[in-house]
Amino acid sequence: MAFTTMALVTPRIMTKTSFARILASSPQLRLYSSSSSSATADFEDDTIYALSTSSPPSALAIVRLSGPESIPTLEKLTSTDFKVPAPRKMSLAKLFHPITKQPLDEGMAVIFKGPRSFTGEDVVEFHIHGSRGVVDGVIEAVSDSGLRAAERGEFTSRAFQNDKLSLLEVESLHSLLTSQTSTQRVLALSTSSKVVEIYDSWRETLIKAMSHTEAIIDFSSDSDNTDLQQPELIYGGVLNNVIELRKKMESHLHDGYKGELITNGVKVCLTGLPNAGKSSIINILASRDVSIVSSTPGTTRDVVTVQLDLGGVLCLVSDTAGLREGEDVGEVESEGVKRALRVREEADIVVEVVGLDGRDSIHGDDGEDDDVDLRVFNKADLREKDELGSSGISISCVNGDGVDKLIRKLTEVVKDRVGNVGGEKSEKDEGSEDIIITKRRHREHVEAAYEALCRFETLAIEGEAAVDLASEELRVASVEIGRIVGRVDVEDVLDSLFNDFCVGK
Amino acid sequence: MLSIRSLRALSTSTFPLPPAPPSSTPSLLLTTHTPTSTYGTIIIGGGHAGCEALSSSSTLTETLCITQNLAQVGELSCNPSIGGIGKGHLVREIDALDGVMGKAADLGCCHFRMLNERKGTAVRGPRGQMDRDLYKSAVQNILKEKENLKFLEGAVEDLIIEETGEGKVIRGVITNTGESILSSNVVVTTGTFLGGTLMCGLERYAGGRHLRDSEQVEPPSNALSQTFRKLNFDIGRLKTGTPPRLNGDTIDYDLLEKQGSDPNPIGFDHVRQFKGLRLPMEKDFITCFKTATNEQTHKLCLEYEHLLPKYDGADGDGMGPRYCPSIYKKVQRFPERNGHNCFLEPEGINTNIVYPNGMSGPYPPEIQQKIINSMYGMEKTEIIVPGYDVEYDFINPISLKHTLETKDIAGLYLAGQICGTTGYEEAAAQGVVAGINAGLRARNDDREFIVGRDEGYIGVLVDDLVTKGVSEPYRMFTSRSEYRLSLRADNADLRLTRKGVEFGVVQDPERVDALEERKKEVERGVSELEKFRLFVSEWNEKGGDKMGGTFSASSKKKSVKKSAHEVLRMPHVTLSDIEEIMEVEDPSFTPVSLNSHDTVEATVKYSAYLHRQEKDMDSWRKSQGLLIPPDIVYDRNNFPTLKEEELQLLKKFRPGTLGDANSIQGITPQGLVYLQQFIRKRGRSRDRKRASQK
Repeated sequence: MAFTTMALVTPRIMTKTSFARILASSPQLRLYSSSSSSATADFEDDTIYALSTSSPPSALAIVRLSGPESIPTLEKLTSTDFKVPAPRKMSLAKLFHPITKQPLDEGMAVIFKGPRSFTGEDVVEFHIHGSRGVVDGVIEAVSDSGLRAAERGEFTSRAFQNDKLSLLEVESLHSLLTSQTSTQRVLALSTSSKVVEIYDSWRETLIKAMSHTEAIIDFSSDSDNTDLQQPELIYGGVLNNVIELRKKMESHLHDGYKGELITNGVKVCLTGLPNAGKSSIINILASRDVSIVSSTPGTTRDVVTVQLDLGGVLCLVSDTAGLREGEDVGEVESEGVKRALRVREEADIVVEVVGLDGRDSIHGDDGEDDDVDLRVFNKADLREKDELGSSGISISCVNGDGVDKLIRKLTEVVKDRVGNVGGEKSEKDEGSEDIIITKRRHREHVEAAYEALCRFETLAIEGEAAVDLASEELRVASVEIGRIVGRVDVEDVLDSLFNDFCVGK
Repeated sequence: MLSIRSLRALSTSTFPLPPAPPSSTPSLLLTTHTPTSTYGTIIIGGGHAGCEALSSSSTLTETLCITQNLAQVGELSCNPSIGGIGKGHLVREIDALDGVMGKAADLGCCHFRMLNERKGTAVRGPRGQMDRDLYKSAVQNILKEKENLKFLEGAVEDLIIEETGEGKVIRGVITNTGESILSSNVVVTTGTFLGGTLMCGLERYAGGRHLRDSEQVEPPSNALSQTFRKLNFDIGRLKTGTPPRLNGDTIDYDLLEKQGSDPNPIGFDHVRQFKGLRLPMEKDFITCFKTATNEQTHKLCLEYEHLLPKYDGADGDGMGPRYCPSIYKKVQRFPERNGHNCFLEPEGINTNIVYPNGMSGPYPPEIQQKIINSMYGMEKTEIIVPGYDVEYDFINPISLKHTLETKDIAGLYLAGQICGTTGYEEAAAQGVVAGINAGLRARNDDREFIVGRDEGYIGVLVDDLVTKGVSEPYRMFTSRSEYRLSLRADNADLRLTRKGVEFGVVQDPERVDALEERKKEVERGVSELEKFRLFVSEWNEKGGDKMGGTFSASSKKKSVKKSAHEVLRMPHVTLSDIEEIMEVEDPSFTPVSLNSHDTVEATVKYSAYLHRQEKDMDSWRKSQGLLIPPDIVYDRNNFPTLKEEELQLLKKFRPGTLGDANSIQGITPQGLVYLQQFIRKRGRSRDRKRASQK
């Protein structure tokens, strides 16, 4: 009886196991599978299909199959002399309905053999003409071959289940599929490979460090290993690696929240005195009437937000109530002012609109250390030329003068804030310029890991006596990073430990 | 080629024979099985898992033990020691549940060390060297005292299994004499005996182990192995090895480094510790010694590589424990090392037999002899009985529930090495769990005895086994526990004894009293430390640099008062340091009693961390039972990525907790992730709403 029988756990159990491994990194996520987890019928066995491009008509369309029956289905839909192409090689394929033998289309077919495919299963793609008749015909033929239409998100979930995608990658795939601007798309694409690589390398460093401290704890006093009887030596190496890692995390944390800005949108707040023309500007920017414009001061009470694509960056531009106090300000308007101030507080970019009345009294008019990123002098048509300041842009919402310049300038400010995503970067900044923190959730975990490593450094100085606490900090850090990448297990630590040390008596 | 048997024959002429082991306690036969008896539980096997299962099950129900050789009940098959780092934690937990191992280890102890003494309390591991005979007779005496416990010397050939409408159910066992013994609960603890093959050099012979220091082989349980195969259990092969035993009279101890026992050995038994009693054999404690391999040893190991056994598992290499490698594995994997330590551990107080720890390697006997003689101080050392390997069947524990009952056959439990673990302590821990659960089931008690990962290493062990399965022999390490700072050897009773009382396995009033007293004492100790305050300058003055170091930098801080609790939190300060000062300052102060000293120290030292771990443990507990709001709507809108089938299932079953959802067939892991995220997101947005309403 060969030991290899061990590998024969059922697929369903494998799934649960890998799932448990992912979840093990997170106490909140850990599940307790106390009850039977025997196999679901045919979950792994069935083959699914879907039209992967948007609905016809279009020039081309792709129908994708995944599962064990996908390659046999390709054979069923082609004539007997068709040779299944080598994986990842396109080949011409005349397609027929498997039963009626009616010709469907002359298209291309490509196969991906599992596990080297998106889902980890055998995958076939038909690249066909995008007319409704052709697409419907092919889908009907695939369906008549006994395949099942995929549920929503099922290709991704199969990939996740087959360990082809980590939680992080699933998230970034989601970002890619829903990306609204070119910068978001670039970020999502870079997230999927580079970021996983960086987080994985952090994780590796932590596992290595843990394997050393754990070896000091679990094996030093009873072990064969003389290195482990001099814990200071090992500690020294660990400490240096951890300090280096801590510095890397620090530089990524100080990225100005660029990743989150791109993902969630840059918040731009239009602020200023009542009747300065904020609503007119937002309408011009949005090219439609979103905010009521009137010459009555204090018309805007609630916050009106529009989404804009400025130079490929998603921006959320908010029009807010004009800032004023006084007796003639009613209850509703003063609530509007409160909200306006809050939006200004939370904004990434503050654009002050200055009308004919100058600046608001709340923020003063010295123009020095305030939070305004861009100042717009509106109503240029009503001003004397020399009245305009040099520090801002002068526009007229009435005749459209200066609007192009405003958009250009605002785009510059926005791009400046989010940095150069996916573009060329100078060699000296290697690594540190990559935006890797794209979600609030990720930042929280990196911050927590960073703090744990700082505490580790303090404890490491205490030497052997505090090795229990020091390794606890490493564990905290690795759990936090694991919550981003979605994978960490004590087995990884033990593997590393047994590779580096001769343990055991 | 000399066989192990012929070497033994040879040894009678050349080596002085050790005194025959005292014929130990056939008195077990007093409570022997009669054909008319009926049992709530049958335990197959009398090793460490078996003994604990017997002990805990028999407190709950009539229990029968079936084992091949009654004299071998409680035998230490390999190393003569109990405990260690991680393993010591398990022994303390077993003892907290009134198990056998801790009590027996104290009675058999002939050398004791607290490992990791200089590191933090959480990672300290008690470890005792055992006198094999004393340990075994202690185990047997403890079991003899149990009511409801009977023994039958024999082998089990088959299991009686009934197919019912609700699946398979165990009904009893069939012995090698053809007798059917009925019981609705059977615990199998066959250790290395299931399909066991012994190996020495290229020689292979059927057996579960050798009788101690003997050429005689105890037969394997091959029929039972066939039974498990027929029942379609997922079976694999693992191996383990034991080193040769040496004649201590032929070791030149004068040349070797000594390793003495701790001056104040504390042992394992909570009740004895509470009473302040010393270990019984303390005055006869032995000394261990240390030697090492060298270049010559390594040359021999590699030169005779071709004479090592070929195994069934791992393509002929055998799947053995990585943390307990054979001498050949060590040499092969770390060629740059020019020596490996070898600890020489006498096997008891009245024996000259020595166990060379770290020297397993089933070379042919004459090669083992050469390898031993290549080491320093061992040039003339004689082997009394050669080392050997055993390869055996194990059942992937993924087929078990957390109660260690098999998922497929109701009432059938597995525990010990059969589940792919290694080590006496790991086996015993499973024995406790299986024994209690089988006992409960026999009483028709619906409760399940499950130790959580947050409650003990026993819980970590069982959870790892049944959720991850096993691919190499599983041993406990402290790194396996996420809550290491909370799960300490010093507080096993505080964590588990109360639970043992609730489930009916802890009945000893002394043990319960000890627990209550200690609880009070720990609380008192901690609060005294909180109350006692001195100016930083005073701490400096009285405690020296050690206590002042961190404060002295700023003169401002010197005028600040610090509690003893705060000072003790510094890693290098000990409770004894502080108590010395407190006793001088306050004549009425009584130091924490010895039995609670470590617990008070750890509670204070780890207080900041324990708080965080407590939060972690809380969220772990919550996610186990993460409640799904009853008004949740399972539709496309809320769950755009769930499969239609999963939505239908969730609608149909409306699981109450995430754990329940997990147990629905057809709910996929990613489905659970989405479900869990949805619940948490909803919780958060509600919290926010509530906060903004305030």
